Amino acid sequence: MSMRITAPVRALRRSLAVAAASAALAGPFSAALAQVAGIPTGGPTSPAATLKARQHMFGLENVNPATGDVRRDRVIISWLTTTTFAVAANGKVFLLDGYINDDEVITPPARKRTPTGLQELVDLNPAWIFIGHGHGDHTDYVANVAYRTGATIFGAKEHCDGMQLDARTQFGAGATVKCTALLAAGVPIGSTAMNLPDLKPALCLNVIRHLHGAATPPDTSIPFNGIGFRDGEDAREFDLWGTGPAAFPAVKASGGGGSLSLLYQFTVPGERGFSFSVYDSVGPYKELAPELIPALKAWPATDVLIGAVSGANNPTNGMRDAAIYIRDLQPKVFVPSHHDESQRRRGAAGNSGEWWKRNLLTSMTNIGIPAAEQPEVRWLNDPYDYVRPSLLTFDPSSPRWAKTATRPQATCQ
Amino acid sequence: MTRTSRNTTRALAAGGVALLVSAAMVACGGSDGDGAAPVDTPPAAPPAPSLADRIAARTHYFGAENVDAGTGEVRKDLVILSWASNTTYAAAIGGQVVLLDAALLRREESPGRTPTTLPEMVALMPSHIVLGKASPGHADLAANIAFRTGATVIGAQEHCDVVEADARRQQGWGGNARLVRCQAVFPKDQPVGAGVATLALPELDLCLRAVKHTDQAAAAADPTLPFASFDWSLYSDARDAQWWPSGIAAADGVNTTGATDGPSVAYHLTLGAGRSFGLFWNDRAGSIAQLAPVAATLMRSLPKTDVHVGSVDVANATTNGLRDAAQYIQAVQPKVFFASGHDAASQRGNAFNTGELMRRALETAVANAGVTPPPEVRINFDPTDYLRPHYMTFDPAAAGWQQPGDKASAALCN
Repeated sequence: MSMRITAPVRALRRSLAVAAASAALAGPFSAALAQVAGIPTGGPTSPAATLKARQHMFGLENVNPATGDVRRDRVIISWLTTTTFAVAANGKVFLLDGYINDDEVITPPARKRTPTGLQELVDLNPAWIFIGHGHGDHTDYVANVAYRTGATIFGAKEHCDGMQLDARTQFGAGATVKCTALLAAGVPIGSTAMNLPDLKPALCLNVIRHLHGAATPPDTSIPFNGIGFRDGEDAREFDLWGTGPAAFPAVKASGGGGSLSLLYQFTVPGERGFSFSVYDSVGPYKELAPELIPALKAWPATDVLIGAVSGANNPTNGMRDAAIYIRDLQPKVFVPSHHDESQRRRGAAGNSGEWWKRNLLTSMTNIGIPAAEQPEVRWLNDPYDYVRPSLLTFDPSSPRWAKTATRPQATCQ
Repeated sequence: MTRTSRNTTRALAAGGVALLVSAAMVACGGSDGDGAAPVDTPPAAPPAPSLADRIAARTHYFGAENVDAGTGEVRKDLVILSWASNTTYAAAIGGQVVLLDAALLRREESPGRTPTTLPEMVALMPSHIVLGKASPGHADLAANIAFRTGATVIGAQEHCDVVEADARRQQGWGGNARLVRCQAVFPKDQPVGAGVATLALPELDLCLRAVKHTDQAAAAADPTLPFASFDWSLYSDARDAQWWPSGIAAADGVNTTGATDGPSVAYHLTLGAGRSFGLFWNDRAGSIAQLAPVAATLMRSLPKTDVHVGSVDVANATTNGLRDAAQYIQAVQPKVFFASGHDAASQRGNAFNTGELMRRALETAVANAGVTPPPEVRINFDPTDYLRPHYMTFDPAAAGWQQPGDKASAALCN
């Protein structure tokens, strides 16, 4: 049976075809390879599916229904669980990390707690995927999505090695993904790469190697503010949402690069130089990598900081480490991440977010950030703030993002 | 507001015939050259809030990126709604501040679970206060804010009368001069279904359409639909009281004596270039399909609605679920629906945040009502989403508001 193709869908197909042709795509456009059991294959379902995924991730109103393009004059960030975010910036669609917590097969009428999954990431048709560090709860889906869409992965050399291994594991010997190593293998913490050309002209990119989370003894210089992963739990959470087998248990990352952690900074070219930085693990660098203190204090101005707040140090030091990143980077807006996974796997309810938010606020005060200098905290409560892009939609032209002489904006030419 | 615009209230019969009805504009002082008799001297409003307070309030309500840090002006190209609790929103429209209803749940002397206060709402310096219902929970603060800021109240004539009476009571005034400026979109005792009242507000660059409806509920279970029931007391959470301990309740006597059986008015606003963006707001939800079908017909006749902010605080949830709220959605056919009033309903049941359960009940009701396509439902959760304007910031010029198959926009305001 033939299907009538509407003009908008035809236009969208043309748009996507041009995008595909303009990229040196690996994955679905490579030579046919043996399919591995349990590994989903194939690119985005259809242009209409891409339109739908983008409307879901970035808001109905922000996506052109005829072309599937996301408006260029906004930066739109959509939380997809843990530290994975879908981003549309200057019209470019990309992922920060690539993992979906609780991507399970749920039998109706039970409801899926995570309102997205692997196939929607593929349908989103991202151009780029950025790896914060190599652990599976950040990278399980990265190689699969990159192979099936042709997206370019960015990370350290060790991350790229891991992604190539994952591509071969999932799609057979000879399968490759596009991966650009922004830092060479073995570089020390504090190493940077600045004003990178890879995303231009749409965006400018900076990267620094920082520190993965770790437990340290209680910091006796500040009041104790530890927080348990089960604090604020509510067992009814499990009645509210269904559980089931993992949707894609075979889609796993090898963990290449492991805890090697990168902090990225994206800058939108323009008068304001709107900038957002992201890190997906929160390290206690006060004790374990103090060289990061001057490095991050000298980091170009960040308007919005998206940072992990949950890590091994929470029970002893609360969110002190996240507060230290905030102190040193001085964002205007702070957005937390990773706290959902920590609570969820220990049986705490999503609504314990209020506890965690207050712990961060206390931590900022404890380490001496004056109230007037604390950023606006836009807390994310799971699961209700999953795929809720309006909370993190920014207009780069707003005067709010004007920089000061004491903290100049990133070089972006 | 210009004199011309004050007198452009129109009623459109359901069949589309425009009927000019009188616009009852009563101005503070009442002696603005319109032939009114000389009046005595009314109490003076207190000094306007300082610029610093206005900037702080508007920044709190509308976001630092949307408010000029030096002047307090809100950007004109966006429509920003900030949920203040129940069905009260502060809206930034065309750079002006408009209150949709004026009441606060759990109003206290200092920001608490409801993170704002009456003085902060005054500091917003609204230009208009639009009332859907002049009763407690919706209009408690309207008279006070209007008197202190000079904001124009918009509502049915009964709403104007209530607000004026509230202002007189609060200010101890028994003279002739009116204390509150009020624009009546419907005359007193206008029956439901008489027409759509249309009002141009050029200072806001919008066209307002009003539909009188009912908030009366039919208690009997609807035999035409699968039985549905919703319990607002589900998922009560004792932690809420721990997180948000009670503060000092406001005891300033600022409230309304408006009757709960007064009229209900829903509003449709068209904004943006070519009036391309439509916003619908109803602060009450009655059984319109059964008790006021003509109101539903009038709602269906409105221009396209992109965003619908509607009450789900129905009075018959135990027997009909959220059917009544769904029937407004069915009539208005929005792209996006924001639930409203669910915090009041759940708090009455000591359940506080039941947002997720309410979402599910609403989706069931929408499906049962046969709404196709269903709107995208966006839920604001209390109290975390109070005064979080980012959830309800709309760019009327955004491409996505124009979808294939849309109803026509209304370029003219008539």
